Amino acid sequence: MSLHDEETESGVKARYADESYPVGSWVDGETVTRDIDESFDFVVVGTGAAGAVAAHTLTCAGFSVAMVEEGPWIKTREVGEDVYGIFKRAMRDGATQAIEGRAFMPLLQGRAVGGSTLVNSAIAWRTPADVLHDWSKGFGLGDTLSEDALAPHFEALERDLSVKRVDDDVLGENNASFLSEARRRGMQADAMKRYEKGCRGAARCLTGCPHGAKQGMNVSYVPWSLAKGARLFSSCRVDKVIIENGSATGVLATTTHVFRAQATRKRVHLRARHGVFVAASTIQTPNVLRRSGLRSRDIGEHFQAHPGIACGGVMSSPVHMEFGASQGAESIHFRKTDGFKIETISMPPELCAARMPGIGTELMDKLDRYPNVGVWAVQLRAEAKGTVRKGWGGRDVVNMTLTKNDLTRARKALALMARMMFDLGAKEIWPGVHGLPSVMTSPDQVALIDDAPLDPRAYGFVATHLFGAARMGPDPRSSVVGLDFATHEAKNLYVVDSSVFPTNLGVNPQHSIMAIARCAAERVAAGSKRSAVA
Amino acid sequence: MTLMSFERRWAHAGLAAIYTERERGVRVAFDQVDASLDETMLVVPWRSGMGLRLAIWMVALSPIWLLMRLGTIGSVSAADRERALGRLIYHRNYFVRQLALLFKAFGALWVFRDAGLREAVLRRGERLVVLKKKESGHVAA
Repeated sequence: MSLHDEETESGVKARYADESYPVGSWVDGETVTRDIDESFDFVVVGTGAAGAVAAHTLTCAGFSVAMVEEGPWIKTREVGEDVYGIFKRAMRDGATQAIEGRAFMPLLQGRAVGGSTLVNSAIAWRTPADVLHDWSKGFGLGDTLSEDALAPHFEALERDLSVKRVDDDVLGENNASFLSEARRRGMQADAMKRYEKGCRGAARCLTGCPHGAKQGMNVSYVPWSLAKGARLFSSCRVDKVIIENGSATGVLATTTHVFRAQATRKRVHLRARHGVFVAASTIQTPNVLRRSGLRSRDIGEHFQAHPGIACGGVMSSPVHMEFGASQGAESIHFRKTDGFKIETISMPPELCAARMPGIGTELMDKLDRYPNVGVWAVQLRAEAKGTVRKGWGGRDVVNMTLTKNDLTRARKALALMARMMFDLGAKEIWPGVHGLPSVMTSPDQVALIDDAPLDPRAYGFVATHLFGAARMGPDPRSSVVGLDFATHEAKNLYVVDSSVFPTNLGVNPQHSIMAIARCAAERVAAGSKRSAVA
Repeated sequence: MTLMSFERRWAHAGLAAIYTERERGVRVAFDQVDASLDETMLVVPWRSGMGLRLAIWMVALSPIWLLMRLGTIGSVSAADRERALGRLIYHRNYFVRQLALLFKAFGALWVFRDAGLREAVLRRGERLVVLKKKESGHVAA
């Protein structure tokens, strides 16, 4: 084992999970100087919520597994405090990716070992029963992903990743004030359940946990898989899945680098005796399938998201967003009736500065008041559907325009958050809607939000949760992936990320993604063992 | 793709108008901006790099088309810079507004690499005092 110890402030030796893995199990594509050609039972493309869990499940079932990841492995001790540092290395396209349509919507996707779990808030929500019912009856999935089928997987994940509600001592004022106001209004609201072991309330989930407390895949299932014999090939971009005689037999990848000009561009050929799992995310999976020769008309269709929009405000007493869970409180009170979920989001100064209204003296005055700033956000279960296409130069092109109904609901959520902040004694709030006052100082002004324009260009949405684009279904004419998680077109080619979801969820998707990937990997592993015995 | 030296100077001037230097309160140091600008252009895809470059040019020439001043953002007065940037941020044209916001957002990432600025904004010392009073010493570092 290659282990590193670290002296903590209290003088106790500590070791992060991402520093403990067998020698030779990790191949860093940024430093590879020769072509690679190796064989495994399974090759898993992607190490995010889906890929890491699938790889771990297959490894535990006794198979040899290769994990291929386009981004670098950023270790806990490398995580810095500034957002730029992590965006540069861990975010796809340096965080400049956007959904196109009537308006641009920044699209934040992790591109690193652990995928977006490196930079998300580790929020755990089981797939809502109404969604599973809809998938079963409305999309022909039957019992494939029923509550009973997924329950053991949720339980196992919750044990492995230590799911628990945010402790009061690391709740922080941004979360605590939201909870008190939501409950005062009679809204269903609670502290979030998260994957964490020993959170110290650093409020840095969005830039990578500096204490290794957040149980992202980079400090959990990836190193755990390596310890059980899997191999990791990071900074290797999958060019295509090799399909021979209608069956997936491996992947071809090329080494890459955060600074593209420094990439060694070596060939990585990973052969798969039993199959290839694609878990490259909703945006990348469809184009991996296309590059591999699949021709289904449904690839890239039915894309959905949870666009988010934030409301900030200057509160009457200190909030100190730099302390507490980055996202620690939420309300699903309006999920079924209005299709939105409200949650807190403690922004570091640079993200807050980008969101604060104004420039120059006005902006700097607001930065002076950062300790009193609180930010909450709405997560919209958008009905809009979009597409994922391959653009010029192999670029991923995502297109989606929010509907009037989506905007009406977003507007309602924004107005609600503004009223909640004023009721808490906010001095001013920032609705962030073009055409309205950028700063509102009176509750009376909130009525303007109720009548805000229903034009997506007036709002500053950000997309994080992504679904569809290679969805599951029994009919090859209307779906890409069958009920056994294999593509309709190629044998032994499995898709296990949220691109198979028939719809969005209305809650944070990481738990659903992991449970479904675990379920898929377990079924495929059982099938492969049976065929080996036969 | 790298920026020319005059493009870097324009970016500096534009950022100085957004994150204004003042005598009191939070102050911005621009020491690391050059390195960050160059690095960003090397990391982002070609198309995004073109977007950033377009944003810098738009900011640079904004005094001409928004204020009718004959000069770039680097050659007009500080007050005119702030006026020009203010108009860009709230411009009625969506694409102009988006480019200005892109410049402001990336500018925030670049200027906040300065640890001194971060400390000043967070006022950590003050926070620790507040939390210690509140939670009797149970404070995360």
